[in-house]
Amino acid sequence: MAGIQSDPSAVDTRSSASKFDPQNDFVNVTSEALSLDAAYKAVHSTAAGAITTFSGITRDNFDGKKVVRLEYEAYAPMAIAKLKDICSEIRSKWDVCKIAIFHRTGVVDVGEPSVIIAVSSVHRASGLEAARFGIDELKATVPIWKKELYESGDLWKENSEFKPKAASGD
Amino acid sequence: MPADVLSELEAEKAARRQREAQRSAQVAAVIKAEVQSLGSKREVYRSLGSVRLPHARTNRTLRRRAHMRVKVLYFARAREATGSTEESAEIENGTTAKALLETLVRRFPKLQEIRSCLVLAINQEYADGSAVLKEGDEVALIPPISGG
Repeated sequence: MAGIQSDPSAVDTRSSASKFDPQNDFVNVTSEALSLDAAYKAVHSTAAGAITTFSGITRDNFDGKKVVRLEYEAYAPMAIAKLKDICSEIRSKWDVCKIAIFHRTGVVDVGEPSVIIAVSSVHRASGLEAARFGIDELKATVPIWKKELYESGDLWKENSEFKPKAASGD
Repeated sequence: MPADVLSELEAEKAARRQREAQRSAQVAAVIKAEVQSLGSKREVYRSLGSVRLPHARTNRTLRRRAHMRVKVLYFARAREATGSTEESAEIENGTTAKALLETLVRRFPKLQEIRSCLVLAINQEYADGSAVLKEGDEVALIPPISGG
């Protein structure tokens, strides 16, 4: 199903000591439309009593301006690596069954999802917290950019959460 | 710390240049003496056979090691500022990420507008500006991110 497979051209060749579990963690950055159903099915497990999903949707307004559409750009190999890191961090903090984090690139029309996170867990608490952590950490670390196009003008957005481990210029 | 490392590198370079210059002068003096005794440089080289003069070899070695290539990637506002998504850059050994960025800002003045909010990544990891680049490194100019 589109969007399920990890990007084959973005192989993470770093240490295998990461807790990212390729059998149960699914990350992708794709220009294809995202499917909540696909994310749900990816993390579905009969061992899980809860499936938590988060969808980031393109809004039709910002700062009193009408948003026509959003355009997303990604540093794909590094974005995939950072999404895998997020899965590792989730697994180090919470007991979860499966994780799926999918982000879309290219043009995303108003009302469409640009990011979907799904987490299955035995009990709901860890799933809810892991999904919350996932989107917060994505906004803080994953090299993806969003440009909002208005009826007149456009604007590259900036996440206030952005906190790279090291800043340049010092 | 970075300033110390840089001045140490510079001192090493200067010492190495001085040693090579001394060596070259010694070899030149030997050749001059031989030329005077044998009558021509050709005779001198013939008598040396296939031995390569050490200063010449060292100069070629220095030239080979003086520069290296890195890949530079531009995203979002950096891409718009440079009109490019990626390029191959030739830089001197010992160049830091910050020094490379300064060079790029001089080449693409529009980068100056976003210079203060740019973050660098080297080989897909966020990096400090003082990081010394290596041959084949992939350097990305990363404006403030806005995923999600």
